[in-house]
Amino acid sequence: MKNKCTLYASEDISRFIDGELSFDQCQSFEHHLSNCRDCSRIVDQYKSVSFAFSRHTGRQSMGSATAINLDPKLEKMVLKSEQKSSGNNSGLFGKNIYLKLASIMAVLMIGLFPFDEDLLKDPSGPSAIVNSVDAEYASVMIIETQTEKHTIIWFSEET
Amino acid sequence: MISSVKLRFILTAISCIFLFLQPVSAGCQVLTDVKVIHASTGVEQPDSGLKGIIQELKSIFKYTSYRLLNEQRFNLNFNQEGLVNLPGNRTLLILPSDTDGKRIRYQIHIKKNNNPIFQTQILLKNNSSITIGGPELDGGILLINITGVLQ
Repeated sequence: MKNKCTLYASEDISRFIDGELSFDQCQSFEHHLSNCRDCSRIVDQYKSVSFAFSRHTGRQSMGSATAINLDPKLEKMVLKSEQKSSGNNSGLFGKNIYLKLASIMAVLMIGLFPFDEDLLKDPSGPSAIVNSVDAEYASVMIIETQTEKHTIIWFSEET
Repeated sequence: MISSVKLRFILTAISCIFLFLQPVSAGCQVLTDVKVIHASTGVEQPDSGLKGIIQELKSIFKYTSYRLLNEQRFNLNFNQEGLVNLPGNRTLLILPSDTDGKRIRYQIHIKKNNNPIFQTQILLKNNSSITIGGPELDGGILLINITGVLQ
């Protein structure tokens, strides 16, 4: 997106939207914005993109994003665990050959298990597939619960 | 030359793989559990027999009380019928006919005063359940929860 205005580039406008300009720069740009149609058009476009993004993701606009500061204690713990893990450089599960073999076997079993025919067909399908429904009733509904995909057939008896 | 330890390990691994790949339909009996439930808007009564399904039912129905009226277990062969007496002169006939992959094909019939009021054919996932409901009973409704397990 190029700006026709020669005073400010589109990158400067992007920094303005993100709140990255200094106070003086910001004031000067805001003053310029009241007189420049090209710059205000780009500002509007950038703002609409930012709004659309926040609407779809449920996040706040990019401009108000803040850096996450870790608690100093937590930071120390992370550093310690990193040091520990870097100290253990003797390979997967150390030198224990049986552990290595057991892990290989577990990986093999896990890898082969999902190739079971039905799991490939519908790993998360409904608890029941209704092939046919037939009787002396007024209406029928087939419902599936969201969490467990439990199938419910609801029918109303004719009175 | 393969050492005896390695050989033993390979044989164990192969038998484990075969154990996992064994088809479920190898069994010829179907353990069928039928729970007859009365759902109403009365005082909430925790029923230990309905622990697993009560949340699922609550996610769909407005009813607050779920009471287990009757539970029957059958170990049925394919094409063998199981019969459950339901309240209000109703009966439930359930028949596992065959399997399709890991699903059990069931024929389900509900009769009232010996007249058919509902029948369905379903493919129930092994070790899963289906709930059939609708008939009115004592200000609430009747729910029938059917679980099938291939033996």
